[in-house]
Order: sequence, then structure tokens, then C-alpha cells
Amino acid sequence: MTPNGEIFIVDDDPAVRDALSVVFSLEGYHVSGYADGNSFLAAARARPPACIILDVHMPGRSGLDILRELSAQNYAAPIFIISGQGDIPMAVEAIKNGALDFIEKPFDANTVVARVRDAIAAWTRRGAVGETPEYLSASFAGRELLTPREREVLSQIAAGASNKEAGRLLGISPRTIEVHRARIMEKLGAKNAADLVRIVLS
Amino acid sequence: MLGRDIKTIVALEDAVVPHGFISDYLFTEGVGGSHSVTGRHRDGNEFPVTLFLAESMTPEGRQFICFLRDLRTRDPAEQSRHRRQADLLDMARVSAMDEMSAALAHEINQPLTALMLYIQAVERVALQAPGTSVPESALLILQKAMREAERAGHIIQRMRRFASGREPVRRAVDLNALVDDALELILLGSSREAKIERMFAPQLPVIIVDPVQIQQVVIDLVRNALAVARTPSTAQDRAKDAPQETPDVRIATRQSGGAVMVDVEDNGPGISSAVISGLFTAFSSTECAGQSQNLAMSKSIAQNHGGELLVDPGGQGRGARFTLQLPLALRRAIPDS
Repeated sequence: MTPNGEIFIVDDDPAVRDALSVVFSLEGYHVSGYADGNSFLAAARARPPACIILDVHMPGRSGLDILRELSAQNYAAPIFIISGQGDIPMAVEAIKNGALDFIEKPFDANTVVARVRDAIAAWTRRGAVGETPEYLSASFAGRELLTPREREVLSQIAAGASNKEAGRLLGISPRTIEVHRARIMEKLGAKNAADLVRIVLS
Repeated sequence: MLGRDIKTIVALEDAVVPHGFISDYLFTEGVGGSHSVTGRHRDGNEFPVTLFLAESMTPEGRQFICFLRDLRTRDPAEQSRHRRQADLLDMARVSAMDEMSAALAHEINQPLTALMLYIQAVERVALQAPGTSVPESALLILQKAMREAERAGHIIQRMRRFASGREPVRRAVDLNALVDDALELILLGSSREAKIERMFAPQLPVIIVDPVQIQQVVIDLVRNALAVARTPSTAQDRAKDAPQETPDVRIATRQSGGAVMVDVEDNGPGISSAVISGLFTAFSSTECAGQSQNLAMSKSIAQNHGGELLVDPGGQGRGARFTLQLPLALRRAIPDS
């Protein structure tokens, strides 16, 4: 096993799969490619990799469906979705279904390598899934409504991190932090940041 | 307007006039008959006009009288219907272009993505190669190649936004009304009498969707169905078949579990197993003539909404049935902050 870990690439386009594989192999990762949802799911359940890159627009099963099937919220590795269509509401939907973040095609190698590296680093820092992150009281109103990722984002917000800082720590883009922030406030019924802090520290 | 040339009112680009110079045409050939032309109002709106040219001999010589009749209806209900039709046609034109450019953008993005990654991989290999020094010129050329690939990426982004000038936007939608509008658009655009049977569930729950995208899916499905509809060979056959004649298209809306469904069923021969495997693949060569190229885009739109597009191939006397599934809104739509 190479020091940098294993990456799963799930995309129906053979060229995209191969090109990503070439890039990540050069960076010292071991890469496995999958052309469709079913073969990917079988492998992902058997042995979680360090990171997954998943195309949401494959023919057959939809990427959103695959995320749900995998229980992406609670899966043991960060999942990036990649998209060639620029449909933002769909990307937001994917994040709600447990994807860590999304990257639009075409992307450049430096970007995708950096995002994956940051995500894996952040993942190993966070410890076990489901543990209560620091800065949050063990039982505030509405805690059980939040996904584990939302609790992490909330923990950063409560500690005073900006979107950029929170994103860097968690391996997520600032734009996606915003998406999580909006969801959290919606779920907890907070009208503004002050409201949120009040709810969380009680 | 008195004393001005007739061209002031009548638009020059009228299709009825062969040479474009309406005054010449009228005075050499058009006397005594009525002509349908297009008038243009001061504010730019065009409207239908009937033009009748009469000639008479007077003591002062030949004189021409031209009667112009504004054909626009005075009935407010019909006026509003005309306006709505114009709006729907605009929307159809825009969303058809939108769909085509979105399909192209998605397709082109695949090789472009691979291309950019490969170029950068070569750069990395060149820089990592132990011992050997890579010619500066080679690296420079790779950088140029990379810039061109990025440029192509930007063009695609602009193309996607240009056609409709809009991003996908979701809001609460009444599905029955949306399907109704789609059917009206199709009937507007088709020259033949289409028999479409509607079976709408009366009280469908609200769904949160992008109305332009979903409407385009419905339009594509119904157009496909019309394209394969069985046409009776003679008027006699038609009369004979009258009691059992099946509609060209059956369209139904219903709720099933946590989703609403739109079924579009045709009365064609069904879809063979040879065709069905490539059915949802964009620009596939196995598509039968008349079918829209955009089943792949329709499936994608359905999936982007958390739903699906399914097909029952039919056959043996039954037509094909496509079902668009859209999930229900889980909670009341929250307005964007």
C-alpha cells in the first residue's frame, strides 16, 4: 500500500477515469476505477478507500441515488462529486446527501489533487464519525437533527471560524460551508448568527 | 402618419412581398387584390394587416387608394391568449436552445477534462524525470496547450449561460398546470391534428422543481410520442376505426408514494430490445428516426431533481410508455435568503 492511500474514481467516461488515474498515481496514490454505480458500490462497501471521486451524471443509476445507497452521510471516507453540467441545485442536493464537496468539470490537476489531499488530511484529524466535536455542548436543542458533517461545520462556526478557515480545516470549499451553514440554520430555526450561537451554547 | 410612405407602417421584411420594395410591387402587380402583410407599430410590435389597393382615374390622373385593415382582435380574452402564446413560443425556443447547448457542453466537457489532466500529467512527468533535463521549449509548449484547454472550458461555460441567460432555479410548481402549458406549446407548433388524452390526478401535492427544465422534458416526451403515432391510412379507415380509435398520446399525472409521476404513452409499435440499450445515451446512433436526441438530457434533468426517467418499451400492440418521476417536496419551500 502506497503511503498516500487508495482512491476510487467512479466515472462512465473512460478517458476521464484514466486521466484522473494517471494524475493521482503520479502523486503516489493507488487508484481504482469504476465505470458504473453497482460495481463501485460493491467495492466501496467491502473496503473503504481514503477518498472517492464520483461523477453524478453517469447513465443508469443517478449519482444522488448512489450517495443515498451508500449512506454517504456516515461513510468512512470523504466523497467528492464531479459534474460536467454546472447544475448548482443538484450539487447542493448531493451535499445534503453526504458528499463532502463538488468540483465542476473541466478541472485542473492541481485543484483536484489539493482538494483530495486536504480532505484526507482533515478526515484523519476528525477522529471517529459521530463523536461530538469540540466547541459544542453535548446536548443542545436540535442536535439530533444535524448530520455529523453539519455538527462539524457548526463546531467551527461556534468557535468563530470564517467560511474560509472552516473550509480549510474540514477540506471543504467556502461555498459549500455556506450551504451547510444555511441548512444548519434552517434545521435549528436560527434567524441569524447570534441566534445560532445562543442555541448551540445552551 | 398622413402623407408618409406606406413603408412606414408595413414592415419591409414581409414574406408576402417577393422583392422587398412594397411600393413597387403594389403599383405594378398588386392593384385590385388584397394582400396579407405585417404592419409594425411605433413601439416595434408587429401585427397582421390586410392591404387592399384600388386604382381610379380622376381628372387629375391615375390615383391609388390603399386600404389598410388592422387584423388584431379587439376581444381582450383573445388578445391575452395571443400574448400568452407568444410568451410560450419564446420560452420553447429558449429552452430548446438551452437544452442543446447544455447537452453539448456536457459532452464536450468529458474529453476536455481528460485533455487538461493529461497535459498537466505530462508536465509533472517531465519535471519528475530523474537525471534528464527537459527542454525548456517542451515545457513552454505544454503551458500553451494548457491555456488553450482552459480557454475552451471558458467558452463552454459561456455557451451554457448564453442561450437562456439563466441558471437552473427551483420553485414550487403545480405539475398539472405545467403539463397543460407544455401540451399547448406542442399543439401550437404542430400542423396536424393531434389527439392527446389527458388523465390528470386532481389534487397533486406541490413539487419543487425548475419549471423550464421539467417542461422541456414533458415537451420532448410528447413530441417523441407524436412522432411514432399510428396514422390511419384513409379517411374511410378513420371513420371505421372511430369508436375504438386510440389517442395518439395518453398523458397522465399521478402520485405514487413519495413521488409524483408523469406518464407519456404513445400508440406506436413500442421499442425494440436492440434500441432500448442505447436509448438514454446522448447522440446515440441506434435511435430511430423522429425521436428526439434529448432523452439523455431528460433523464439527466430527472436525476438532477432527485427523480428518474423510466421506460416501459411496450410492443405487441402496446405503445411505449415513459414515466417521469419527481420526488415530493419534503417541507414547505423556504425562500432564498
